[in-house]
Amino acid sequence: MSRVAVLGTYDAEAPQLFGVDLMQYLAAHGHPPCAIVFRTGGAPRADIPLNTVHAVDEERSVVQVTDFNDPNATDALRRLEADLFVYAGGRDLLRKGVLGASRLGCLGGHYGPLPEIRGMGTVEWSVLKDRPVVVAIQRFSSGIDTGDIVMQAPVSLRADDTFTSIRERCYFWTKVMLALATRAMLRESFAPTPQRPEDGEQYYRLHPELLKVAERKLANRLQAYTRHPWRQRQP
Amino acid sequence: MSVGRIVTSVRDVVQLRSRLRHLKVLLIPAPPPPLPKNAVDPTRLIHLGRYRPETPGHAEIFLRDSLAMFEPVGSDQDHWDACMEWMLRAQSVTGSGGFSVGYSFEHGWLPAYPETTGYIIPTLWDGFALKRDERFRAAALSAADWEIAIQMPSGATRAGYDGDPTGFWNQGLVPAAFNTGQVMQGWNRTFVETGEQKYLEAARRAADFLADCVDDRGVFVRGLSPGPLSQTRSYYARAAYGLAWTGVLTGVDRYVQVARRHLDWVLQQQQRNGWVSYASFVAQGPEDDALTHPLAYVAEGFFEIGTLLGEKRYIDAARRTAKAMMHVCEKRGLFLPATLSPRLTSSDRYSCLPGNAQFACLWLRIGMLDNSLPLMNVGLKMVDWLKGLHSLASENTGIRGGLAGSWPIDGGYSVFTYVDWAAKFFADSLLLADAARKRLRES
Repeated sequence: MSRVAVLGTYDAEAPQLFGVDLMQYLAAHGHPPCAIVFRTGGAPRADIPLNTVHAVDEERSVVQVTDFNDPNATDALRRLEADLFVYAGGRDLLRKGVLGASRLGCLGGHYGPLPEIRGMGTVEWSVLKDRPVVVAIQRFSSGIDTGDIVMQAPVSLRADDTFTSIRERCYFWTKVMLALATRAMLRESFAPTPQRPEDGEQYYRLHPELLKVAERKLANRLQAYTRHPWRQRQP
Repeated sequence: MSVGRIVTSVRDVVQLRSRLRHLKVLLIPAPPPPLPKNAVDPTRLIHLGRYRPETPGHAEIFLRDSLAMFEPVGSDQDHWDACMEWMLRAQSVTGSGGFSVGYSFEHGWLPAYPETTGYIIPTLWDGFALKRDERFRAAALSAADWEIAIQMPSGATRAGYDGDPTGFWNQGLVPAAFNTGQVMQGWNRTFVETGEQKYLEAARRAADFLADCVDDRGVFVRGLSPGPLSQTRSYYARAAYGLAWTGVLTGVDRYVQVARRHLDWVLQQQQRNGWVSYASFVAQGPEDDALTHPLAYVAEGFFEIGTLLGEKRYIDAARRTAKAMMHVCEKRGLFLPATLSPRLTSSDRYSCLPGNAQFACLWLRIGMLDNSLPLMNVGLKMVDWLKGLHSLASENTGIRGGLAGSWPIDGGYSVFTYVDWAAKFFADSLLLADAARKRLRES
């Protein structure tokens, strides 16, 4: 049985963590996580020691950290002897120590077509650059969104979408695709595609003026969906 | 052992311990008590007394910056108006037509500065074109005339300025190639605006001096201002722009060729990552850190000459540096460190604000030229960030509408001084931001 550990930000009690939707999707695809490495959104939980492999039952454990890149946290990650990490957070920059602590590295999601659009505000930048809205699963490298591409899929849009609703849909698809990519990686059914740094651009948080342009462009793009004949048949 | 001896021994031990404690207090000071939340680092307060904290506005700005707080942000127009009013004050305080170096917290308004007065003139003409406010036209003309009045017989503009209270500029009348190139831009623009030959004649005399400062390799070897410590200077690319422009206006090809020769040498100093050797006032070798302000001078020189002569390779070089600095700034959460190593790394915790404003201008200009949304994005963000350091309401007229040399104000560049060149580049950036916003709204 392959060992998968999920890294993320969670505030729930240890046993409940294994009931979170991502863990269920992983289990449904044949790879229930053996461990969850988490940090809370605020102060650490008092009931779980820091940087220690804390058994929940015979097969599952949790590790509480304050920073995934902390050397003590990395030691604990190594002790899990995981085949693959799945990163479910969004704002951590995982360093080499973490990425090298499992046999096959660490998978993570990205809301933009790779390698073209890396960085932040990527849904908005995808619209601004006339590119499809895409969820990409990558095997992280130490660069920003420069890891090997495991899989990518466009995200469907609806006539009443906003950037918020598109992001929510991206979030859902990221979790589903992480489960698919985990299975594919562990079966070694395909090889991830490496990226070259020069193949893409890094983008950053948008100024409100640019955000307005992005919203206008999104509205234009969604016009096509308003006019779609299928829409007329919907109740 | 008798009871007396026991009592004596105990007393001796107690006395010894007491003396040791006393000695420890004398020799090993106790750690200071912990600071309350949001307190200013006391080490930063050591020098504050020199900068007249009792003067209205001084302590306020120091505390604002120390606690990383920001001013209320207004429209581009509000900030531009305040900035131009500050510059008019900076001119009127000198009574000469020249613009004060700036407002120093230590010394108050400083004397007139020939170099920066030269390149403020185009900003005044831009203001006149926008507002038709006669004060800007009159200010531009009196500044240009003052520059002619103090032009050296060789055609050069002098280094530094008279009456520096800090004693930094104490070499007297020394010709300075960089300053000459900046003043030529003021004369050229005034000639373009008025058609008066005296300005072009002044620029031609200056160009004769400037062209002789460059050797066969394209390096400025004469007219090196004695202020900066560096002996090799790539940021003179911005002086070469004054020379090339005068060449175009006068039809003297030699000026253009010398400017081109210098710029080709500067191109060799640019690395593939956009960083440029000798873009610094203190560099002793090609690997020494660059400062954003002279680095922006280099990029401005490339961009202006590239635009003037229609030379794509120069514009490409300006774009390379501008894009590199965009990533440097954005990756740090919109913080542009003052100095950068050849690998574009920095441990600085302060920004050089003229450099920030210059790069905002470059990002916006190149962004609009290329229709590059990422460059316009960072340019607009930087202008908004600078607005947060630009007081519209201070009761101190040296502060209200001006921009400091460093953020925080006790950072490592033009410490505790509101400098005229920061205001100039900020005013330019506000006009460009307004144009970029219009462009985006119409897109």
